[in-house]
Amino acid sequence: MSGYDDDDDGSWGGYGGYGGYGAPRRLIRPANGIRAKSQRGPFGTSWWAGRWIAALEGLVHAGRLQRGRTYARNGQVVSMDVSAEGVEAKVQGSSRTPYSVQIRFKGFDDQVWGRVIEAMSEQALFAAKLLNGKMPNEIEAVFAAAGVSLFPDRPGDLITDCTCLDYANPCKHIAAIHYLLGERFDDDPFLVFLLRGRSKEQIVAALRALRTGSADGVAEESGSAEADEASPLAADPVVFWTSPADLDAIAPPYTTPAVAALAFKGRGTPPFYDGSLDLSAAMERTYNAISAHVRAIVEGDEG
Amino acid sequence: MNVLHAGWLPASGRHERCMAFWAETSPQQRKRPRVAGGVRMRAHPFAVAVPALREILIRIGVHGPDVESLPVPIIARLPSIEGSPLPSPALGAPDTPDAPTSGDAPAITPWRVEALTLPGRDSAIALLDLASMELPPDVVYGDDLRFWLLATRFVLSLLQRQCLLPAVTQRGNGFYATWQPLLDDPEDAQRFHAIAEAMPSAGRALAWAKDVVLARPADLLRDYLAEVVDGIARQAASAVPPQLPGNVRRLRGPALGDRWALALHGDPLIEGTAEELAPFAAACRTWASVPANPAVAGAFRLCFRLDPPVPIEDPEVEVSDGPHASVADDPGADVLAAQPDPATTTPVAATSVAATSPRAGWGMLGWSEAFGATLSTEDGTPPGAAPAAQRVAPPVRRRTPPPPPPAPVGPLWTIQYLLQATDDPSLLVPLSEVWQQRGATARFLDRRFDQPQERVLAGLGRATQLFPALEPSLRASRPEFCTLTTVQAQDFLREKALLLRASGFGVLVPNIARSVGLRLSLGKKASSKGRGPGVLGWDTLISYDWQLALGDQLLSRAEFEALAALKEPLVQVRGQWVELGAEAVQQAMAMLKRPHGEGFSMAEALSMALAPDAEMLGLPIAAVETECAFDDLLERLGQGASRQEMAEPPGFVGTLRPYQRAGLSWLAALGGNGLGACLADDMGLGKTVQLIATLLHRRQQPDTPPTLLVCPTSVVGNWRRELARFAPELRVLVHHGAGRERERFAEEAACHDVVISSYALLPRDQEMFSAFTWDALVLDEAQNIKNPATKAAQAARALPARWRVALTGTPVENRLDELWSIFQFINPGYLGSAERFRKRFALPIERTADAEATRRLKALVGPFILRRLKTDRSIIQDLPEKNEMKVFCTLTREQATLYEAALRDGLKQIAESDGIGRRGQILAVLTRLKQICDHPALFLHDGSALPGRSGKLGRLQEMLEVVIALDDKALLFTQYAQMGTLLKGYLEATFGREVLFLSGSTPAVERDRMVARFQAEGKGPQLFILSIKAGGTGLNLTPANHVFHFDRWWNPAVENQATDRAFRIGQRRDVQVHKYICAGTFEEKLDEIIERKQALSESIVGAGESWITEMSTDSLRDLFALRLDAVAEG
Repeated sequence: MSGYDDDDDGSWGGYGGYGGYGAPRRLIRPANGIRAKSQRGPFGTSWWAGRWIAALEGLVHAGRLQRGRTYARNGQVVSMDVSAEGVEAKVQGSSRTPYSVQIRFKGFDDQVWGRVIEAMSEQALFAAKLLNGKMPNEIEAVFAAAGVSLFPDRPGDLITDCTCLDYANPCKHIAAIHYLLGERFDDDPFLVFLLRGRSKEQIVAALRALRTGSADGVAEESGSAEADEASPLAADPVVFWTSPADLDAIAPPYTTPAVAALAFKGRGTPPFYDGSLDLSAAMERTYNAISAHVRAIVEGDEG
Repeated sequence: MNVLHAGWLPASGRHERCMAFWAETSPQQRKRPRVAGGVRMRAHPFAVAVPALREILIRIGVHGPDVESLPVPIIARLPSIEGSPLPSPALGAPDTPDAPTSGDAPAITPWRVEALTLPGRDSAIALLDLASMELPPDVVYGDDLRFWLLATRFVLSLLQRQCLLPAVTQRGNGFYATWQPLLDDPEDAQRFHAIAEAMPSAGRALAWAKDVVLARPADLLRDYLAEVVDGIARQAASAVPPQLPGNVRRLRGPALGDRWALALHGDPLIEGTAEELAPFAAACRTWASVPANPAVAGAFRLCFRLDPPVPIEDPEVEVSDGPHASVADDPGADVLAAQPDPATTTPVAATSVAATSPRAGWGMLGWSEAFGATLSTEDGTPPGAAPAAQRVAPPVRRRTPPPPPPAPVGPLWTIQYLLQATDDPSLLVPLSEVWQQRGATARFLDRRFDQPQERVLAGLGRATQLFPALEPSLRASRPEFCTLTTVQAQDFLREKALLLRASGFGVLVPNIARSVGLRLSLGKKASSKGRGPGVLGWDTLISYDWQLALGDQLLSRAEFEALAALKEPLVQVRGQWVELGAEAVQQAMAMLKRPHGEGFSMAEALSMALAPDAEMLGLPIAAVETECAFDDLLERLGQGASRQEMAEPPGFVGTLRPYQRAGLSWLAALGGNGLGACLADDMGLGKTVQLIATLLHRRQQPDTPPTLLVCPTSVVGNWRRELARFAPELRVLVHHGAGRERERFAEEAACHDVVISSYALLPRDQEMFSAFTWDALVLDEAQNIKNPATKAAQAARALPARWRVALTGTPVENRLDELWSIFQFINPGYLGSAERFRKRFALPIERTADAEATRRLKALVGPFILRRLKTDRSIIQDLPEKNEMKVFCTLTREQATLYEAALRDGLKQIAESDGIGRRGQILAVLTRLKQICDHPALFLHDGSALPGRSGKLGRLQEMLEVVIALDDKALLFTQYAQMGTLLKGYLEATFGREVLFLSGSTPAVERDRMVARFQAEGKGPQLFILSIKAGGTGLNLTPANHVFHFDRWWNPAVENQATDRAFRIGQRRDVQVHKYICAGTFEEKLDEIIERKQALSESIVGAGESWITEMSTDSLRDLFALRLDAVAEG
């Protein structure tokens, strides 16, 4: 697919000769473009990213979508800033200057947000999931109950603008931004709310206020970097040859855990796993085989 | 001496990562480094060449094609001085007289060495093999090799405990599915650092090339862990590859996730394009690195406490006065006690934070069931949901319907959500407190907690992913608990609690007995043949009885079947909750159907009582009760040598020291039950007298058959003499030598009390020895049967005896094959078959230092081994200031022949001379005979071979084996410099380690250096030979705890003076002085004369040996005459 070299202007039929360019211009490949994580199949791994993209795909022309995917995957997007105002992005096309893309989403008014946050505050599940980077499944129902749709599904839900010459809006540059945006939601579901007018901090504080009264303040934690130094070999022969510690004093335990594959299961099923296995069961089997294999090595049956 | 080294080499250029094995050799075989022109890097001058290295590895027992592979040249950076690498400490300092004495400091210099390399997994197994194989005497392991063995043990520990994760690794253009070690557990992280810090420089001094930057210890260790974890995990996984559904293979080909899963179980390369694999790898990394759990950081962590249901029919359960005997010990007990009776108190919101107590007996897993008090159920809260100590307020505002009311059938368990103080797990804060916090920072119990609500909520969200049963409770606005069915509660107990704990959450679960066990009762009845009632022996059958037990509760068959019929995974038995899994029910049912046997053998019964093991009966043994005589027996076994000391038995001439009386009582007690004993006291503590006293004690019983005592040839005479000295009334038959009784042996033996014979004769005369059942069969120096396959060992096991005793001075508990062999002799079958013993104990202990296997083995063998050390404080107090003993040796046939010839000629010359000439002749004869007693080669000056030709040398070798095994140090005195030279050569060859030798001709500088090296703490030479003249000049050699006088200076004053000067006796008391005497020769007679004279007067006859020259020829003939029993059987 990387061989697909987009003809930036050639696809708009009647406008083929516009500006006197007889031959299609070559697409310029930016050096440090933002490449989509997804290089095949759907964009985004979470259900809400999927919903977002599905909602937008309904608003964009199919041909533009196909180009948009290619743009997103090939790293044509040079920059993308997401804020409460919407999205500001630069997309490299065949023109020397990247096109500027702007997307504004229709925000919800305070009344809507008030109803939504109140509904969310009734179930700790919402905050619990959101704070863990997961969008609660019931979230759409909450917005629907407040009379709005969380994911844009009407042309009026978003105002898009691009400096390219495409007559169609949304164009492929805007489509590319949509896909990248969807992938961003994977990491931070609060972005969906931000684009609808409420930041994570605002939502968290409002939820807390409802549970208790009022709230403020954010605490931060700081980590410390470990200083690394090269350590030279000891030149003193006794120090060189001798362990500084009693090597027999360290005796790691040998137990087969009561619960198999704890390390694996403790991390949950890998979200990137797209296969057809019951991976958790398969891993239990493998982890137990590993424990048994070690026993066999220790008891001299293996090796 | 060869020192085996190992070092890990990270991948570099075209070289794969691998472990390199190489070796240095001993100083004598060293050559000066050749400075070869044209070669850029010089070869290490005393590294072992690869064919010899391969031979060493194969000799130790490391096999495999890789050992056969071609040598690989690597670069070792070693401390060097003046153009030569410095040897490792085990090899000692260079012996060249022109050893560097200049002030040059050593510097790290690269050297070319040839190594054998093994890839990660194979090297791990090779290192384990090295740990469990018996080492040839001329090979030792460097600390670097021992370090990599430790690293290997750590890897295996991680793997067995399943601390590893599947991952994706990019190398070059390829993406590979790999298994990676996981140091999630803080203890493992700590272990990793401790091990990295234990890495000696030598462990990381190897590289493929001169200019490679050496990795830091932690990085190198990590590299090794990663390689071996992947190698071993992949090998294991390849046996259980995941089975993809057929249609997936056929139609679409496996998805990327499945290609990854398959690659983890086989060929690691993942098929696919970089475009799809790069994000996959990134996602995998994100998944593996669990983000810090926000709910567990800071002063508090989210904690889940499982509460059992409270019986509905009995809502007013008492809060306290449960089975918590030690509530008062608990810091939280006051808080608890201060709570009003919940049954009469309307629940109100606590106005101050209630620190609830985890109660006595709460561990992270284990508090008791009486915790819960019931609370009103009017708001739909299930009973028991809010324990009284917390008094959770009902929610003020409730916008969503409360959790569904408990199902009518089946009790509901609850999980309480709490904050647990991280510095004091007993401090718990109910979430109701958290939901009231308005600020971003809260204070509970004087501890600061930032963003309490968000962190708790985030924590609950995280926990829900691990335990989805929590999710319904989060439908409440301010969740404080959730309810569980018994099936969910069991799931929580078995698995989810561990998952949550592994994620950093606090988890408190009630003290719930894990499944069904057996309560075993042993020894109500005991049946044994031909022994009085109540006297148990090795052939006794011990009756047994068992009951099923759930936790502390014993169950009748009917009760158990009723419980099993409930088909509930958690059941309550008389107030105690018990997990009753389906498999456990099956096992127990099978056990109930099992026919009751006659009883256990003594071996089975003892091992069950001393180290119970689930494997034995199919169900875990919850408790063992012992009864009647068997209980008494165990009690006595448990006392060891601390029992009341017996007095010397009648007929014993002499006095036993207190610890020897304790040993006598121990031997007598085990002997009374026919239970074999291994007396393994340190050399010189008097195993002989303890045994002699025990034999006398046993002979108080009428009609006792004789005892057969088997010892090395070299100590046959010693035993005869010691028996005569301490128990003169015992009739002793020495069955030894060519003239031993054969035809009428049984008759002859029957009218003696003790028969002494040797290991050599044991298989040869086995038939004779089997003629009747001995009272006791004693093996002295039982390390002689350390190899169970030898004829002597087989014969020893086959002989019939009422009681079997092994005497040994070696640290038998550390030499596991020897331990098994000795136990197979003293208590046949007790440690199981050799193969089973090796699997269950020897290999796990030797290869991985398995603490549990070590503990079990100690429990099993402990009652039957008595080993006291000279260094024990209590023993030292019992020891005399100077512990001298005479070591009587035999002559070999060659020595006897030479002796008689020399004596014949000598006496003739003496008779023919007079005056000064006569004196000279006498001294000359004396010298010749002494030399013959020392060694024929010393007398003949012919440079002939040494082994097997001198009784003294044979005995010396036996005793030094023990000295070396104990890491002791010994001084060896001889009058003859030539003997010193011979001994040095022989002992170095035999033990494969350096032996120091100081004679009159040693230069002063060299002498000081030797003394300093011997004095050095820890390592360094263990054996120091001194000519008695040279050694008597103010040396200080205090590390020695053995002094051997290989030959005698026939004036004790001179002898003692020399000994004392060289070795400041009195500074330490754990010193043994061994004086070697050839029995039946003039050495023994002279010794007697000196003793007699010394008894008469402290000032002994003249100086030196001149007094002998005044004796008459007849007296001399008497003195020098060779007694018949002096010669050992060849």
